[in-house]
Amino acid sequence: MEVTKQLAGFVHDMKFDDIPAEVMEKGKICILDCIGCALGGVPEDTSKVILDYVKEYGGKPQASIIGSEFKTDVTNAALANGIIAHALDYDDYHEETVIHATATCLPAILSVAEDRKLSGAEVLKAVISGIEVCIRLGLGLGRYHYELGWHSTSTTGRFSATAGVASLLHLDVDKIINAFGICGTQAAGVRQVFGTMTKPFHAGKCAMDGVLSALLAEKGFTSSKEIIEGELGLFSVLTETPNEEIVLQDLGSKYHLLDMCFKPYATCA
Amino acid sequence: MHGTLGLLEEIRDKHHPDIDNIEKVEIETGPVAFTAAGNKSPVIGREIKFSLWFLAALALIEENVGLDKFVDEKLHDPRVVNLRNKVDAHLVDALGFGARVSVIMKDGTEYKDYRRKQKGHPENPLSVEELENKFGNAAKMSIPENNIDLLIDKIKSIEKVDDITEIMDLMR
Repeated sequence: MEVTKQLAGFVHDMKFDDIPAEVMEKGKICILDCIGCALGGVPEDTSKVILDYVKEYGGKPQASIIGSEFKTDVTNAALANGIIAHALDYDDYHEETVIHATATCLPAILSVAEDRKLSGAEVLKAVISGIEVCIRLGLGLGRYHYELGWHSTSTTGRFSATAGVASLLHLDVDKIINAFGICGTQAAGVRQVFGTMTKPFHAGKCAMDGVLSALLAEKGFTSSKEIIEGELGLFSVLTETPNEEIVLQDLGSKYHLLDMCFKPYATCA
Repeated sequence: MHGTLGLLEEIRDKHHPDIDNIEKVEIETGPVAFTAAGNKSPVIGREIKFSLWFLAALALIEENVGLDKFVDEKLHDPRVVNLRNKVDAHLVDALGFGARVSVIMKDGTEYKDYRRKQKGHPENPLSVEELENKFGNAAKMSIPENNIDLLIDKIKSIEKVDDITEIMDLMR
């Protein structure tokens, strides 16, 4: 069914003016809620550790760390901001797939957008694109994936970040497919780490890997063309109940982003 | 978890049950609460957020289950611990993120409620005011309060922002 190619085409073909108004508004709420959660997460010990890390090991001052005057390179900014955004476990989620979708993509998108001085409209389109891709992948992986021990936010979140940054960079379809291949082979994250600093690390690592994957693809780095549906791809390895049809069902006309939930409590859902 | 907490807070606000006279708190909810908040015996305060039993006790005792409650002081508070030991939680797959709760008093009075969709779900959404309050309460932890409304306005009209740096600059 060429799932990988179809999703890449979806990201590539999305036009800002074609996005339904209700999707646009929900996307803005996702951004608002995620940034609020990140600002609330700044004082957490988890956030302090990652800020220390990027101050010591980070690169060129390309993108801001939320809640700080400090800037670092885009990949480390994405890492830090993803961790900070999920530090409180207060950010949005999709009920059926249990995916925290915005915290994995928005930090990646903001990092690259800030470095390249891109517009708010580009950011909003990228977020909508990223959330949609990862929720659809989560639906395709099915509940068994989560029950097996995988942290679906982490495994699919790399695709949200990659799709979002690929959208910002206006990559062509082949490059987006390569970016998905690069990010997909990094898909990881198990629920054993829940309750530790490593749960929010998952969100940060998704954001970081998304930036890395899209930037490498932009420069011509190649990968599998079938990272999702291939014989040794994610749907073979990460679940026993893959559903390719649901990933592509009504792609471009139905937005699962509309099902995102916002937490009234800073607890796991 | 959010379904459970919302229902218990409603019972707390509507019936004001005397905490010392609660016989038992019964909860039925779906699998995610047990996997994501299944820690029966947190060791440090911040682990309370992963404990359905402690969270349920806090929802009945405290005015809100806010970030300031996930601390060692609450973990070792005898009143919280006592009520936590009266919380009985059962997995009902079909409930998903919804919940059914029952607070049974020593005199036999029972306060119970059920909701299929938790607060924050599109079918039971947070209002714009609730979302902005959530934002403001979180954001004030790390940015000047006079940046908060500016940031909200910028994000609400993000499509008109020419350079995202305008928003990033308000986040410090």
